[in-house]
Amino acid sequence: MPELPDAIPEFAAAGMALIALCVVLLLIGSRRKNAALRTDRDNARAAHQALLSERDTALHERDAARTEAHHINSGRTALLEETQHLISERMPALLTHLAHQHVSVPGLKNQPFAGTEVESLHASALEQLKKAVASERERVDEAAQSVMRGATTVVQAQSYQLQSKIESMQHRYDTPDLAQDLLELDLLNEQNLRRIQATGVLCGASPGLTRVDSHLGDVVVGAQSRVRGYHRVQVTSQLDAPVAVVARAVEPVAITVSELLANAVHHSHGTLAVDVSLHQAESGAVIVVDDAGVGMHADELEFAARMLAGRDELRLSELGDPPRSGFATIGRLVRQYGFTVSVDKPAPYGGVRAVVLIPGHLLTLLNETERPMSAMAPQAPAVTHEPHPYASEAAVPQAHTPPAGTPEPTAFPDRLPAADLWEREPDSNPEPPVSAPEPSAADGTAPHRTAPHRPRAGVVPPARAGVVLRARAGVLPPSGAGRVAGHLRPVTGHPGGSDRRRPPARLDTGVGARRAARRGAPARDTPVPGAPPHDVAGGRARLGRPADRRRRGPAAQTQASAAGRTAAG
Amino acid sequence: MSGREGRRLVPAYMATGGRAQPSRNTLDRLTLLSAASSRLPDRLPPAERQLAVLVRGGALSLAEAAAYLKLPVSVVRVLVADLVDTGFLNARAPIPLAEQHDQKFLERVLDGLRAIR
Repeated sequence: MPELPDAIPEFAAAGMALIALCVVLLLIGSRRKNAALRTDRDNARAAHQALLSERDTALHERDAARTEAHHINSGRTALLEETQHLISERMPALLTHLAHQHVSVPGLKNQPFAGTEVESLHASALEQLKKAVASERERVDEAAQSVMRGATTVVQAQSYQLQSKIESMQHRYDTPDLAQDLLELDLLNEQNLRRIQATGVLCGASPGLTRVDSHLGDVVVGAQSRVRGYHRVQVTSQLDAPVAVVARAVEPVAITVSELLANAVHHSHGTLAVDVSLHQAESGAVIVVDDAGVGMHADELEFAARMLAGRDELRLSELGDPPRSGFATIGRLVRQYGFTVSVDKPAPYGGVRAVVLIPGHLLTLLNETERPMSAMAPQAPAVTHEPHPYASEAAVPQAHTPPAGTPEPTAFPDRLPAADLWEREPDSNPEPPVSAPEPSAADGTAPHRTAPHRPRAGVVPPARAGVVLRARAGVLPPSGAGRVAGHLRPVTGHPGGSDRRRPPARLDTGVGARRAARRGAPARDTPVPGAPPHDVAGGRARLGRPADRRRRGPAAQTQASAAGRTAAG
Repeated sequence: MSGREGRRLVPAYMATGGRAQPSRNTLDRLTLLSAASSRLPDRLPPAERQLAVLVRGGALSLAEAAAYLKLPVSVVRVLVADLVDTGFLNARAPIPLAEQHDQKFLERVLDGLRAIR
């Protein structure tokens, strides 16, 4: 057993070593486990982090989705609201606006829609509505106009028959009482005619009556006769030539003037006069209607100007109630016939001044011998009673011949025939007579029988051309337009003085020729002896203003030569 | 009024302002009109003026004047009456047609003359 005690420390040591080894092994194992655990922990942490961030993202998305849902909801509400606004506010307002321009159409209710597709879609919906309403309105209006045209045409024709009947009765019966009644009937019928005719024209009908070329004074007095208060209308003429309106424009001008007069008479007090004056202008003839009434306010002026411009398509439904048809009627005529009417000038009496300008192509000159004015036409102011400066030479003693010998009152002593207004067109003129499209009038041959030296159409130099009047060959006065020259102021500077020339006599004598001689017609142009005096069919004659008439053409010269012969004899 | 000139443009009532009752009732179709003065008044309505000018050339019956003026006689009668009233026109009854003298009346005159002697 000695070995046992000896062996004990060894055993102990071995045991210790073994224990130590075990401990080491355990330690190693524990460390490894620790490391693994640590790794697991780290992994778990990372996963946790990832989960956290995912949650954040999800939360964020959820919030975003909520916001978006809210936006969409509010947008949908706004859109519904906006559409409701479109239907209940904007569309009715548009319909009212189409009837009454002063009503405005409201815009978008929700301004955020401005510039978006919603706005443009709504706008196009309104546009479509507008188009639909407009086209339907046009269709209905045209149907109404068509019905009115048909009705007025018949009534107008019957009114003309009535007019003829009344007129023939006026000539047949001269008992004062009966005649008084007939005159009153005539006036009533004329007023009816005016209404009917104007209504027809308003609805697109023609004036319904074609007349012959008529003196402007007669046209205006005829228009005056159609107005109820015609007593208050005073017509004065400043025309120094027998200016006439060509056939196709007579009724349109008469309708226009009668509507203006009706307006003037209606809108001024019953004791106030309405002044009408006729003037010649550079580009035509002018009729001025002045009333002393209350005038028109801006709205009415704007309406009148729009109607008179004649640009817009006319709708009966735009005329209001009661319909303001006068200016609309005139607007139609203005557009169709090419004269102009304006009411925007300052009015001298505080009322309205209406100015009708009839351009030269709607005017002509009439021979007052063949086609005298009616007895009611206004007299030109230049009809003077003192001896006319040319009266001694004018050879108009036939003025006092017994009227029974002549078929018409040609013999008014203060109407001197004169040919010098009508000048032969120079051959060099770029505008040949044949270029004028106007056909010869049906009665164009009459002057040949009555006057051997019918005056000829001519052209005033364009730069100095005054009122350009188309004078047809057929209606050229045989001895000139009497009152035209009769009222000319004598031209200063050559009252038959030393510059009187006497070219060879070529044509017959005439008053105009004598006058030309007195004026000392310059012989600068070569006379055209071969030119027949009647070759102006379709030619254009132009009426110059007094200053223009001083320039004499070859025709006047040839007449002047004749005058020289006369003076010599 | 019709024919070449077409439908009348100015109605007859424009000549007198609608009056057909003359201020004197002594005028008929054959009344002779003549100018009372050589001077024409400055301010006359157009129709009266035309009439005044028309009769300056010599005597004219009212019906003729109406024909020249192309106006109804009833209207011209008013114009004439107005012009006579203002003194620019003379109106004279027409000269009656020469009549056969009453033979019995002449015989009685002759008898009377003889009785004087």
